[in-house]
Amino acid sequence: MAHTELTRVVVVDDHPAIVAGLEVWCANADPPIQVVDSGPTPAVAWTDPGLDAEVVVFDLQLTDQVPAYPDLRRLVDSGRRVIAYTMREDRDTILTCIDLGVFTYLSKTEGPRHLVHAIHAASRNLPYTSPSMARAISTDTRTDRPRLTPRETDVLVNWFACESKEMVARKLGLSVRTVNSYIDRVRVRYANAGRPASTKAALVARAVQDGLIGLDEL
Amino acid sequence: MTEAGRDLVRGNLMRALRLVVLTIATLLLVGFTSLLPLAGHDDGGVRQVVALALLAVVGVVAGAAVLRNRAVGRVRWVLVVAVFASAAVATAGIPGEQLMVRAEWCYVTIGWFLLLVLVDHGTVAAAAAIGVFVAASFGQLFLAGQGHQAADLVVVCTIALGCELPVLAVAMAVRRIAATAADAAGQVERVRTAEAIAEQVHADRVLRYTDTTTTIVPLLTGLTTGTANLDDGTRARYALAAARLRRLFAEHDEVPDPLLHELGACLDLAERNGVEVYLATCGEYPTPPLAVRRELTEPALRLVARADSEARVVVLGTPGRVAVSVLADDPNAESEPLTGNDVGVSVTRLVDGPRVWVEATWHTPS
Repeated sequence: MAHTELTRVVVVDDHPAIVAGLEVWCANADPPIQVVDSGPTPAVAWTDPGLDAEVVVFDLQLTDQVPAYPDLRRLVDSGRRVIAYTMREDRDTILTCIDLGVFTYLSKTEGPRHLVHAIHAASRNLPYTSPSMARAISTDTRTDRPRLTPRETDVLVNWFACESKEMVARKLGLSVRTVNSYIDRVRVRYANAGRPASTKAALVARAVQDGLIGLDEL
Repeated sequence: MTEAGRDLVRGNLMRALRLVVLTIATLLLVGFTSLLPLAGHDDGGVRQVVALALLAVVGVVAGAAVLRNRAVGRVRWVLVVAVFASAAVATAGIPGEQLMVRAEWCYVTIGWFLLLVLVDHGTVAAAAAIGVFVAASFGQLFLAGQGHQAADLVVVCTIALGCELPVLAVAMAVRRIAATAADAAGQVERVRTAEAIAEQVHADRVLRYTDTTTTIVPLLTGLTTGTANLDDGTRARYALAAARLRRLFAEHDEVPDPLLHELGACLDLAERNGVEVYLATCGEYPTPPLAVRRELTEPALRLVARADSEARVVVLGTPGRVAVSVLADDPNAESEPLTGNDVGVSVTRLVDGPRVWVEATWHTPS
């Protein structure tokens, strides 16, 4: 795959240490990722040079205890690919963000292992399901949720437990590719459900185009 | 003593009393029935026959209950009405001046039948019924203009009540004795239960500490005598023993989720020693029994005690299943044997380079 071009990222986070750590991970990423700007308010994503960044890494918990859903919604509605990156790990917050149209939800404890992968995936309109998302989806009890097969739930739960698709594949006697497809298909069904958003549509369109999921399954 | 025990005591004592009342009532009925032809009633004694027949029916119904040692049941109130009706039939139509002569049997007998029907129900009800009957008798006498015969009725009633009231007194005493005996027996039972629980708790504790004495006492002895060779292997044994002790203490705490609490206690020491531990739950799960919780937490305890730098511990739950999953970096994973258990916890292990993934699963009994 010739995805070697630079991915530009803007970071909305009020903790300098988080931004510094994130810049180090991005600098070491392959293909390369450049943090074009960062700041404590969403303004950095709406102004140059952040305006042209392909991916927005967004801290939900900016100034107070209330998640910044309105800012997140505005970014998603204008077609920005957002990765929510926050301290919160509770199911309702994660499901709300998925419904709003974030590409990936990452808790800060998951950052070192998953943030770079999630940024690469988002820049290519590919789904990336973090372990915390897998937990939220596998324990979703809302009546209008997309239905999961027992196998899909099993894969998600094990992905949350060990954070290694190779180990999940070995434990369940599947190939890594199959494990990935189980996880991604669930993610795409969630993108296809609930509130419409252009980012969610892009995720679904890419999945259909790649043959990951058929139109009749949606 | 339980409610049933109290009923048994009362039932045994009360049965004797009811048999006595039944015998007296029957004898009175038979006696007065045989005297009926001698009374010379104007109507040939038809009313008296009806009255005595009513009492005989009451006697049969109530007597059957007494002989079978059963309560008279709801029919008792019909029988009470029948007894009063019998008295009314017997005294109605008798000329006022004849009342004390021809209805005298009534004043003596009715009380006993009221006792027969009501004594097992309650002394208050029986006393009230008898009181109503006596009052009605006096009322009837005065209404018939025979106030001057009241002294005769007083004498008759005194003789009747003199026999009936002691029966009521005995019934009250029986109730009190049964209650006292029940309380005493209940207290003995409570003491016995408390003793049994204390013994069980003590036995559990001894068993639990026996487990630890085989592992901890030698380690402590080694420390105190200075014979402990503090190499890595020994240090690991100390770490395990310390984590088990922490879990043991956590088992005594009253918490909403004992499994997570005890798991936290197992990981506490490793965390203090610099292992970065991530502990989370996924899904809801029932609380397994203590023995099962120990087997579920044991693999986590062992693995995390040996972990190099980080461990991911997750309790996975569905309504019928609980699993404790541990992912940790442990260079010596292959040397660790999987131990069996007899509480139905299955353990799987997957090694991937330096990482080990152990999962202990328990299915709730269906």
